[in-house]
Amino acid sequence: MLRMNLQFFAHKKGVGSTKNGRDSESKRLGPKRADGQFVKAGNVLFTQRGTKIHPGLNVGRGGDDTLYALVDGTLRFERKGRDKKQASVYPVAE
Amino acid sequence: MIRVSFRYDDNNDPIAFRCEGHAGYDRSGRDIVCSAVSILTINTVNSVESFTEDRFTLETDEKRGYMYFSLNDEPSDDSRLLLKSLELGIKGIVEEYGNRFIKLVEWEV
Repeated sequence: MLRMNLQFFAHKKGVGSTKNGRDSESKRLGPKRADGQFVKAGNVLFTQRGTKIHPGLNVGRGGDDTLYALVDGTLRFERKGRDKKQASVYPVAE
Repeated sequence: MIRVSFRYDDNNDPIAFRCEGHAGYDRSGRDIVCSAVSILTINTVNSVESFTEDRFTLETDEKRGYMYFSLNDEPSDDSRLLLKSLELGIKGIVEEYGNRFIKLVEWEV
C-alpha cells in the first residue's frame, strides 16, 4: 500500500540546499555606559562597527572602533557638527 | 508541471498511467494541485490492491514526483472502473488548472 502523502507531487522542502537561513551570533553592539554616568579610565563606552559615534574629548577608539574612556570622569554623548555624534569624558572637578 | 499520461487497451479503457513532475502551484504543504493528483493516484493504487485480485506493476520516486502504474494480465471490471475514475478526476483537474500546473500528454512507450 502506498503512504497517503498529499504532497507527493509537490516541490519537496529541503530538496537542494537553500542558500540563506544562516546568521552570525549577535554581537550586542551599542552603548555600554549611559550619558552622564561616571566612568573610569579604560571603561568601554560604546561598541560599534565603523564610527556611528565618534571619539570626543578624553575618549579613545580601538581597532574595532570601540570607544573607551582615557580618563576618569563623566560621560557625555554630544552632537558633532550637523549630523554626527561623539562621546566625551569630562574629568570631575577635584 | 505534472505530466500525466494513460495507456489504453483495445476497449479504450485506461490500464496504466504515468505521472511525472511537480505541480509548482505553491510550496510544499500548500500545493493543492499536487495534493489533488496525489490523492487520486495513491488512492487508485491502494484501491486496486485492497479491493481486487489484479496484479500490477508500480514504480514511484517521491523526490522526482514520479509514479508509474500498470495493470498486468487481463484487468478485472473493478480495476477498469477505478482507473476510469482516476482518468475522470485527472481530466477535471487539467480542465481547471491545466495551463501551468498539470498537463495530459501522449503515452510514451
